[in-house]
Amino acid sequence: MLTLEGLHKTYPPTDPSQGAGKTAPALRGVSITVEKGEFYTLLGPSGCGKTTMLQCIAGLETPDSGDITMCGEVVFSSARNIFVPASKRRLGMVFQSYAIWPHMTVFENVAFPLRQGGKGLSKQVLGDRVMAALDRVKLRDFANRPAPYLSGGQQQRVALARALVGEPRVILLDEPLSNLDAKLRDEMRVELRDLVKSLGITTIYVTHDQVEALSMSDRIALMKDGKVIQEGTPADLYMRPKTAFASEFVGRSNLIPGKVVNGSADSDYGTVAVQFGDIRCRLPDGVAVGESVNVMVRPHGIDVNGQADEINRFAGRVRGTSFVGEFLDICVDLKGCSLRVYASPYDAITTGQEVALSFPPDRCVVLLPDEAAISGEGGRYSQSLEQPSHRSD
Amino acid sequence: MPAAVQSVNPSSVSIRHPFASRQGQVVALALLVLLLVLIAAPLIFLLRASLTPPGELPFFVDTYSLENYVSVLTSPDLLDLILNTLKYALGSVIFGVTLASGIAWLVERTDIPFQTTIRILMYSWMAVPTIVLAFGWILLANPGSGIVNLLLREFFNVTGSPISIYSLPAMTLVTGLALVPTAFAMIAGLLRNMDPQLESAGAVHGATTFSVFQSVTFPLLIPGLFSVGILLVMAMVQAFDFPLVLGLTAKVHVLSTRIYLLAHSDISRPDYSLPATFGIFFLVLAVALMFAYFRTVRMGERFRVVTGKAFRPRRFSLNGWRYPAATVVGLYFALMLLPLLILLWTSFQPFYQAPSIHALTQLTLANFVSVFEESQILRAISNTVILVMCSATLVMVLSVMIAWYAVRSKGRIGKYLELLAFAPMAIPPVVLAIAVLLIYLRTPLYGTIWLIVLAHVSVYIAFGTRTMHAALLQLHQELENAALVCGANWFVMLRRIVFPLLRPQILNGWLWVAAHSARDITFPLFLITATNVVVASELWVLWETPEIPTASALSMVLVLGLLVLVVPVQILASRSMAREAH
Repeated sequence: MLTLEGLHKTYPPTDPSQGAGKTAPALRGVSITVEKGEFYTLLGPSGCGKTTMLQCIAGLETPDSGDITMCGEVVFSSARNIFVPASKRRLGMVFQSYAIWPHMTVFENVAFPLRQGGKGLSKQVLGDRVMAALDRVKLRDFANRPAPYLSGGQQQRVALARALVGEPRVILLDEPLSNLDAKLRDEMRVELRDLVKSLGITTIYVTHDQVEALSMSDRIALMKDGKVIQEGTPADLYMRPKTAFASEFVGRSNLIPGKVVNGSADSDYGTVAVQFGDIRCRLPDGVAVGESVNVMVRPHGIDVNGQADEINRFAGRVRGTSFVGEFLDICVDLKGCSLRVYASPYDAITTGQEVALSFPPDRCVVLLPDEAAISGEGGRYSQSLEQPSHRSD
Repeated sequence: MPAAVQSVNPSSVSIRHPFASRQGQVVALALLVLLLVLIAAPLIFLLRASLTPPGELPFFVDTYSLENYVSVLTSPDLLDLILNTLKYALGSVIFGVTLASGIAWLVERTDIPFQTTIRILMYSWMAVPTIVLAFGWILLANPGSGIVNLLLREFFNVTGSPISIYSLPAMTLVTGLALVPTAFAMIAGLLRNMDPQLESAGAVHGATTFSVFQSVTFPLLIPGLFSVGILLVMAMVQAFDFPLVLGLTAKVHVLSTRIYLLAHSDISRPDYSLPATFGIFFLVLAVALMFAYFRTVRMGERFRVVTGKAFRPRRFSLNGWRYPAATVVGLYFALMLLPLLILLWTSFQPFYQAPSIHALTQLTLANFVSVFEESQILRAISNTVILVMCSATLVMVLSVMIAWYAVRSKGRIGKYLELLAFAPMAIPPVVLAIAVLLIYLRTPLYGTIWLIVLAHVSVYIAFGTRTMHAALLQLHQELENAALVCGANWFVMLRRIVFPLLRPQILNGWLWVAAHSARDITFPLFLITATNVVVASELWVLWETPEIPTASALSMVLVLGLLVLVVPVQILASRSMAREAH
């Protein structure tokens, strides 16, 4: 349906007087394929290239090289020198600022796409289609209101109606919820997904918010430094991250450094020696004995004071607690290794107390050392690795 | 592969906005060519003309000669000319800026009454052409029949002419007064955009109101005031109207009037090569000032007081001085109105005479009748309407497009366009006028009103582009992108989104250009023929004839016409500004 192949893009330096100093590339060889009707999310920290990618799809930015195909039509190809302008790509787009034209009414804003390209719709048909689009976003009564007299949430709906009214081939959403307040954002998340899904429109959604990405998408492409780091369903990404970056950007995680001490040829399981003992867990393909790895386990993947016969069970001391309400956020010291654990708020756990932690083997993910992530290839995001971003709060 | 990449993203003609692709590139190139024809070509002709032997036109000879340069450099009064020009420019600017700073401070930073009225009067002042003011001052203060002299003779028993408008100091003073509204607009902007927290910080740390002004406000304003000053000196060095109307009689010549006299010699056939050479010298002086301006602006950047954000500065309380201060400002306006009042009086008189009971019995409408009956004057009026409408509209349409490229496209064409459009700031109108004359003298365009339209477009595009540049920076680019994604092409996007959203700024710019186009006498006089006369040049012709009452009546018609155009908009703008401030 929508294919991007080998997209490269480097922006020219903003100030040419500052020498020919190369700016970091915004996209380095990105390839993705989106199926018809799919809700596909580009997720990543700011500056990772996700917005550039969306603008390349929209035709608002030209990649330096690569191909973009939409419904079998090549809309961009550097090799074949093809560039279909934005106005001819038949897309719908919701911008981060909504970009509602303040000099028009709601109706005129939504009618705009239908009036372009000499479609020559009769007044009647045009009116019907605009009203139908406004119905879908529950704004029928606002049709004649001037755009500046709308709340943020209403502007967002108008932007959505405008994007949908022309029956676009693909709809592009650029962080559409980031300007809404928290409560409205939760409502719109569900509403937005239900709406595009019910219409069966292929959707590309750009966000830096992992909650939005996980809850709305069919598939997610996690991006960093102009590359797709990992692509998969929300569950894939969350349960089976492939890199330390992925595990820390999507959800919270404990990364425990260790060494593989034995693996077995006939089963997937093996043992990793870490600071406080041996953890038995599933080993990924191609990992060798003696190799340095990270064992990743989510804070709520760890059982606190579970049954005594569980494997991977270790004793530790509570260093601090924080009562969040939905869970009890505790910090446990295991022989000098400090772990974040979410316990049940109903457990009476206090600072200084001894607890037993057990790590169910299938919740432990072994991550190979991620060259790119550790050395920080671009150099720009090394900081965000030292302080993993917890976007959920 | 690399070849293919280059063809998609050609960095040589780099308009990075892909949606501007073909249409946009064609338009950008067309604009570039247009600006080159309008601005660069005349200057090249000027240079060529200065290098032809004296008395020849550059089209007919292929010899080069430095003779003109020799005669300019060896002419005994070159130094006097330059000194006069600088004295006149510096004197009027120092006087004007000082007065304007005072009034601007009172209006923007104190609780003086009638703030909105003062603002409206100041901003509406562009409706009064300089040439009209100059006529008024002559009627008021000429050595023979000037009212001031008559009064002095009658009441103070003096003989002779104690006051004369025909001198360099008088000319400088009058120009300084006329400069105040322009300087006021610039300085009020500086004061409005200053962060009041800087002053509060001074006050919190123990400074009194006066020492805050002395040690914080004033030093912070210095770079801004300085750059306003240089900009105005640049404008006054190029000034033509006061030096023409007052200076010729006073025999005080500046560079611009000297060029005019050389090009309009009554005794011999016009020789354009010598004025062209003077023009080159003039151009060099103006460009030098321009660089000085840019240097100060860059220096001022370091202070960064003007953040472009609208603040609500604290206002200094004048207490008992509120009405005295307002009276002083009122006196200024009264002084500015005097020349207009005397013209109004004269326009109803059969011949010029000082107001008296006897003269009151002779009031007549005959002058206005002849304004609307004489075919030459009617032609001037209709030509002016064409000139004002066309040049203002063309300037604004071109400015929006040029500014759009400068702001939105990251490519080189945008930079070239902006630079070219800005160049006329450094080209004295007199110089451009002689250059335009040279290039179009032998074309059918010569003698038509369209040649003046073309010249005005070249001159005012600098102002238009700068205004639109600032306006476009405020416009979120996503508003434009949204239109493109919705299927609109580049022209539709400009027409449906950019133009409507920038309507207030475009209207303001349009008015400014319209008013200045109507006021200007430089191009109409240099390019004058029987067919392309406009009101401004007709005024000069009538004044020289002399038909002073008819000239006065026509002056009043022109001022009234411009006021009708300008005042309503200024009132609306001031109201909305006052609303925002409260």
